[in-house]
Amino acid sequence: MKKEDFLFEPSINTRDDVYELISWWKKDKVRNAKVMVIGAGALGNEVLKNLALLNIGNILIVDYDTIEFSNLSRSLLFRENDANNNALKCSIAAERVKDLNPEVKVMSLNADINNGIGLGVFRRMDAIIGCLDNRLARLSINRACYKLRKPWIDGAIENLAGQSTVYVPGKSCYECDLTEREKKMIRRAQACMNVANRSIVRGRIPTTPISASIIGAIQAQEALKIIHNYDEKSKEAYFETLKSKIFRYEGKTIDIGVYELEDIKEDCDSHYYYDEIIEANELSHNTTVGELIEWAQKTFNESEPEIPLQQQFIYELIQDKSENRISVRLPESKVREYIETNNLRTDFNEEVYLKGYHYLTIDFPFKELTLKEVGIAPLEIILIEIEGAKKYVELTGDSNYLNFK
Amino acid sequence: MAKKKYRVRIVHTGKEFTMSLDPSTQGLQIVKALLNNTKLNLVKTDTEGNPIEYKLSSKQKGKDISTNTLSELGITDGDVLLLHQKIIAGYLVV
Repeated sequence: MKKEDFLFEPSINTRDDVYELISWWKKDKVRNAKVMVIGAGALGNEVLKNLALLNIGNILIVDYDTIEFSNLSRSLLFRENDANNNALKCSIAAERVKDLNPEVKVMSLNADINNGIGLGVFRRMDAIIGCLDNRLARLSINRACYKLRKPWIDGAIENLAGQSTVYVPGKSCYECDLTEREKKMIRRAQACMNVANRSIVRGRIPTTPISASIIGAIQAQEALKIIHNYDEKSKEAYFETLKSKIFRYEGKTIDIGVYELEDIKEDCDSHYYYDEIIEANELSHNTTVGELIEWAQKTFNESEPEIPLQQQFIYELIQDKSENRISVRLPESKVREYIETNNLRTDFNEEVYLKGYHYLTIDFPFKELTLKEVGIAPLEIILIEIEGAKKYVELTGDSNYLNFK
Repeated sequence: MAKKKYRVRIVHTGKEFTMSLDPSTQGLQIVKALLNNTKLNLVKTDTEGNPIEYKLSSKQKGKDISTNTLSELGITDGDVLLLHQKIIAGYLVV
C-alpha cells in the first residue's frame, strides 16, 4: 500500500482553504465581512496583518497621519522609504495588506475619525476596531457605535503592557469608564482643536512591537468572533468573548487577566440611539444645504426643519489683538489649518476667535454650499429636528463612496 | 464596619502587600489611598507629564471595581486586589 492511499491530504487551492479544517470557520462570512480599522500605527499594523492573513474580505483603513521614522520600530507594514517620503499611513498600509494577501479587498481613508467618517460607514461594517492613541478618538467611536447599537473593539498599548475591550452598547460604554479627570482632558483637547490658538502635540509614549503583537492578535480574534456572531450565547459554537470585559496584559510581571467592566451609568452622553434610519438615495454629501432643507420640508411636511451640525460651520475669524475680521466658509475642523496656512497668529499668545453656525435652518445664509463644504462627511446620518420628533436621515446617495479594491 | 485584610498587588511592579480596609470602601477610594502612599512610589504621570489613571480589580471575582464597594461585589477577606495602570498610549495637549 502506498502512503497516499491512507493519508488524507486536503487540497489547498486558496489561502483560506486551510481554515476550513477548523470546524466553526465560516468561509463565506469571513470572505464577505467588512471590517474597519481606525488607526494604522503600531497596533493597527498588527491588526491589519492578522486580518489580511485571515482572509477577511473587505478591510477599511482610516488614519490621517503620515509615516515617521520613529514608527518603523513597531510597524511591520512600513519601510524606511515610506518615512523618507512622508507617505500616508492609511495608503501604505492598504498597499502592504494587498501585498500580503491579494485576495483581500482594501480601501483607505485619509480622515479624522472625530468628524471625517459618516455614521453610514460605521453602519455598513461587520466589525469596528480601534487602534488609537488618544481618548478623544475613542470617545468619538464609542458615540458613533452606541447610536447604531454596534459593538467595537478597543485596544491600547504602552511599554510591555496592553489591554483590549469589546464595548457593547447598552451593556458597556467607554465613556462611562472615564474618570472626571479624563473627561476634563478630553474637553481640553476638544477646545484646543476648536479654538485653534494652541497646538496639539502628539505624545511619545513608548510602545513595543511585543505588546502591539499581543493586543493586535486579541483584537483580530475578537473581530473574528463578531463576524461569525459567536459568543457565550451562540448555539452553533460556544465562544468566550471580551464583550463588556477587559483583557489586560503586563509583560514586565507576566500578569494576564480578564475582568468584567463595571455596569454602565444612567447618565452618560454616549447613551443615545439612532433608531429607524431613513435611507435617502436622493441625498449625498454633494447635495446643497438649500436642497437638503427643501427635501426635509417636503418629506416631513415641516416648514422649519432644524439640522444640528456635529461641528460648527465657521463664517468669521477674529484676531484678538488687531480685532481684524476675516470672512471664511469653513467647517470647524479645517480652521486650524487655515490659521496656520495664512499665518493669522502673529505670536504664540494671539487668540483667534470663531463665529459660526451650529444649525442648518431656513435662515442659514449659505444655502448654495454643499453638505461636504459645511463639514458633513459622506454617508453621514443627519439628525433632522422637526416639531416634536427627531428623524435620522442617511446620505444614502453616497453608497458608492465605499469602494473596496 | 470592621476592617478586613486584603492582598494588594501592583501589577506593573509585581509588588504585593496586605492592606486593612473597610468593606464599604469604593474601588476609587482604594486607588486614591494607594496613590497617596508615598512608600509605594507609584508613577503619577507618563513620560509626557500627563496624569496616569489607575484601575482596581478583584482577582477572585474577575471584576473591575471603581464606584462599587468591596462588599457590594462580595469581595471578602484574603481576596487579591490588583492595581493596573490604565493604558491610553499617549496624547498631550499643550
